[in-house]
Amino acid sequence: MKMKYEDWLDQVSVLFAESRPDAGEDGFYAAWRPSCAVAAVADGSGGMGARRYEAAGKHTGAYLASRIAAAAVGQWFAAYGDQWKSDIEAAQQLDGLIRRGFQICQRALGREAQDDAVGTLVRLLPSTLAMAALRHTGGRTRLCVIWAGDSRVYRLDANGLCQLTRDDAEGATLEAMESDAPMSNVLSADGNYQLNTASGTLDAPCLVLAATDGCFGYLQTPMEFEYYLLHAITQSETPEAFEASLRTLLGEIAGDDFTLAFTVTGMGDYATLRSRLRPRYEWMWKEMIEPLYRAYESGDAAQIAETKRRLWAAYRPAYQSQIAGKGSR
Amino acid sequence: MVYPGNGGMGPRNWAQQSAYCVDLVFCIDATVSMLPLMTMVKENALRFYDDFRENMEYKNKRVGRLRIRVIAFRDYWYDKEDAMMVTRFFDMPEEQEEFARCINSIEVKGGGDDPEDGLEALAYAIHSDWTKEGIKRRHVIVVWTDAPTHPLGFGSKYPKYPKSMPKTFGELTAMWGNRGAPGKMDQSAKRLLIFAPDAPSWTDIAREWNQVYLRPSKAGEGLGEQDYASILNTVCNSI
Repeated sequence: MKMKYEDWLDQVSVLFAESRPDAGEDGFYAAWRPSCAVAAVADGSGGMGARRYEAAGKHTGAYLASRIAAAAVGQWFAAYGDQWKSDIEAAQQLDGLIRRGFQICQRALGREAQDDAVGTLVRLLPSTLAMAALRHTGGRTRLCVIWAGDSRVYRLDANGLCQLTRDDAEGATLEAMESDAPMSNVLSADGNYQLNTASGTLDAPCLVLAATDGCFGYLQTPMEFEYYLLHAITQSETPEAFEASLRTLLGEIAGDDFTLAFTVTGMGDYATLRSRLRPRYEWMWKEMIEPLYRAYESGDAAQIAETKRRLWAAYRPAYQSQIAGKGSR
Repeated sequence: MVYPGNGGMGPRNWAQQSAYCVDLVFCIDATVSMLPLMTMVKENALRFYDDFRENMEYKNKRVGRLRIRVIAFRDYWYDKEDAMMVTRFFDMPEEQEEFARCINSIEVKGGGDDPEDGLEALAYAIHSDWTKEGIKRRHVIVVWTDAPTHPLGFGSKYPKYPKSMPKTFGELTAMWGNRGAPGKMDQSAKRLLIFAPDAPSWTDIAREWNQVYLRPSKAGEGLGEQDYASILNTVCNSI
């Protein structure tokens, strides 16, 4: 896919892979217009969302929910993509479309949508959502981020990877991330969820990425996820090769569906993107990944744990420096 | 620069480490009316491990270790020394025959009045020696009963009623814990699945405790409407 769609927008793209054909529980929506763009992913919660519905061709609730979320993003972008004034306003608009989508689906499922099970583990049509919307106006590119669950929005630039969304899950420690902690807030047809929001301005060339946890959840540390992204970018010569490389890298380790939707702004062309990120790639290898891999190769559990702890302590401040608060809650 | 994942114990080997370490505690009402459910459990005890593993793999979740513990409960006041049978954890699949023998040794009998001592069984379950192995852990309690519960301590006049039991529902709730006050359970790992009537204290638990799933059943009918496949699927979905 070519870069430089508009003066301010270089690329909008999606990598999508299903662990089982036509049964993947991730959804996505990515699009652009002359003055706006959107990249969004949704991950149907396959735990208690694993119930299958005859009326939906035996697809799971998670499958349906992620597609409802993605479709709502598409409807929102069509109606409001170049008009939203604030993240709060955008979230309210999007929320209405999501809830209407759930209502339509429940009507279509009929009696199958009724379930007498109760408790906090019971969620009807559960899904995460992570959306990044860009709007270019007055010479500035504004960013609006909306999310629920543990799918994430990141920013990647010459200074490294920053997580912009706070997981709706237990804790922000490395251990909590590794342990696949339960989510405290996901989209659901029962209506018991809230959309988190954040906003800002993109004042430097960067990538903004929305990712389901299949992209990053099978790596031990966020540092390795950044390294994967940088390796795919800097070791490829074209945008197409970059996408193919990243798909291969993630496909080798993901034990689940994975979806990554992203935008590139301010780079101008692919050679510039590579050259801007190369110093960071070299730094990450020397300061983070090489010591980490040496620890892994030792096989010594205590050394691995200590190395991860030390490197995470050094990496974390910048990585979490832009993480949003509770947002619209 | 090194190709990502080629660093020794890098991402490919992490896939093995990221397998789930699962402890299941089965709290089974062993009174007379529970014959239908108990028959189903006994018939499927030997195949449970293989079915569980297959179901989890279909859901893209690898099981690194599975242990199962059994608590068969009745009524301290009525059944006295037969009120509670509590086992250790059985490692699966190495000990699946011992597990099956244990299940098959449970005789449905007794119970007296309608309510049973399910809360005491839950207290025993919460106090399990839960695994601390692995990065991804799951500590799942599954309760099967067709009866409401006595209040805690109802059977305490029985001389051998455990002195360490929580005295109130509030104490038991504190043991289960929540994000602010974790109690005895690992808040990320814990799950409580209840197949029981819409009756005290099960509905109170579903309303007040986190990480709970309650499938209401018909009181007094031994959970005859539950089938093995859907129970297995519910357990696997919770992990």
